[in-house]
Amino acid sequence: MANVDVVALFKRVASEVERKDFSNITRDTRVTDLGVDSVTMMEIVGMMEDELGIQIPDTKLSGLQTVGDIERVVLERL
Amino acid sequence: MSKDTAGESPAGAVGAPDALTPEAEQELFALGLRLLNKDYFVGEYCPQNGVDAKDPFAKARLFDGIIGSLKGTGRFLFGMPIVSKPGPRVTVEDHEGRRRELTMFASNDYLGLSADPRTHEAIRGALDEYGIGAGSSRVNVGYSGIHRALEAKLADRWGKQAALLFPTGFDAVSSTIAALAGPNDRVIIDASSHACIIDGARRSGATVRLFKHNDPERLEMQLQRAAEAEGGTLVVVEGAYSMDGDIARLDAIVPLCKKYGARLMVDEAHAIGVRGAKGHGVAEHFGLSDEVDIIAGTFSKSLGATGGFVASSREVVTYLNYLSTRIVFSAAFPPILARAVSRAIDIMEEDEALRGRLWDNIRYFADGFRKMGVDMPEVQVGAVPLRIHRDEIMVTFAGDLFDAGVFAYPVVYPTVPLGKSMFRLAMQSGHTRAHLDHALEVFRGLLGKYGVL
Repeated sequence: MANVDVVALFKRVASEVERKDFSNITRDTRVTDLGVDSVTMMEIVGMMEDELGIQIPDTKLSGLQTVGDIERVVLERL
Repeated sequence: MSKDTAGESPAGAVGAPDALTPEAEQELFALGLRLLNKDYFVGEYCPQNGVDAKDPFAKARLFDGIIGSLKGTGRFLFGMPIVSKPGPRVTVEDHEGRRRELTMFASNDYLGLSADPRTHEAIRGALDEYGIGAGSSRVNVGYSGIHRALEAKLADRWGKQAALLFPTGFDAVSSTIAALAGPNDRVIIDASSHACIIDGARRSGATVRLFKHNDPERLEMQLQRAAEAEGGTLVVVEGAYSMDGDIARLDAIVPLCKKYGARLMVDEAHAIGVRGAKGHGVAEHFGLSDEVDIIAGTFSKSLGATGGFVASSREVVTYLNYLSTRIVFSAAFPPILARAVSRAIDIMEEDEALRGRLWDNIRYFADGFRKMGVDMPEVQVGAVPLRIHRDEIMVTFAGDLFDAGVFAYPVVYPTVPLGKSMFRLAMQSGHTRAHLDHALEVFRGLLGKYGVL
């Protein structure tokens, strides 16, 4: 599980939810630049949890600035 | 505000509220809004301000000082008692003890049944017969004959096998979700869900998933994944979303729940008395009452009292009666209210003119805003949503409304996301054209003053 490409998973799930092309996302992409609201972000993270079979506490999700921050939180739970 | 707490307030010059500049006042209110988020207040603000973490009350001292400063501005509308009968015009006592008469746009008593002589008449005899308090919980000896009669009526009118009373509407929803769902299950909820739904979903221990407000496609994404997971799925939506101004798209949500084998619960809190041919809510509006597994509601809005209920299958009702903590460990609501609610249901169903006047008022008021140039979508619920978006002006705007005789609470973070501030203008059957015209004129002036128009 440690070899999971979290950024790729994020791109795929985000594209599915928002029906937009997120192929340009990198670790440095700021969450605020994605054009998705906080609800959508929770939907995306929930689906990533399902795919990976993990649970991320809500408290871990506040203050995340970049896609790399999300990756770090996900990897901590794997 | 007492002198000794003034010094702990973070807003600098708040020891003398009169001296606050408009900017300082705005800053104080912005701070107050942020502190309404307990996680932020306790987790970040208190440590930054040196609050003694060893004393659980120390944070309350800091908070009390800030609320005192807010009250001192004379523009803090929360916690002022109403000192008259509920209705479209009320008398309010402000924080300095002055009484003012205002037009009410913040009550959920949409049909005015709290003050209706017909509901009052219904409970007069019941007081002598049953007293005031129930004395115990519903599962115990707090269950009276008129409670039982009301449950039978609710089951009959909402077209379900059985119904169950709860102390409040919040309890009915929260406790039902918490009792029915468990750690192996999923609870899927709308992103605009009321706190009672979120509370129940969290307490259940289930995996909670939310979907974009009223978006069946996004619901289906969650349902697909839930169907692949272990355990059962409970979808909970509200019939009417009083902040968003729309109703649940049950015509799409019901078939989706069937397709994926999920159970569906609809909280009709803001829809009862407002939607449906007989005022039963949005499930009735769509002709889908039979397809909804659990209908929940409150008596505290259109039915003019307090208490809540769920209507469902006999099995589910029996289960909840013994395994819902709020039924087992909380006293039943007063029996006299059961009689008031029973009468209120009859009036709601029979007196169609009441709902007709409510809808005339909703359309007239919404149109009034449109004529000013306000972007106002079709209003599908009993409250007109006036979107302001500028968080920083909301409290002073509401204070100006109050001074002009219009009572409307600002809806701000954390009730709505930052930048989505609004006024939720709850309508009543009893509002006259004069009440509405006056309020529209006041709003026109203030929307101009604050540069919103």
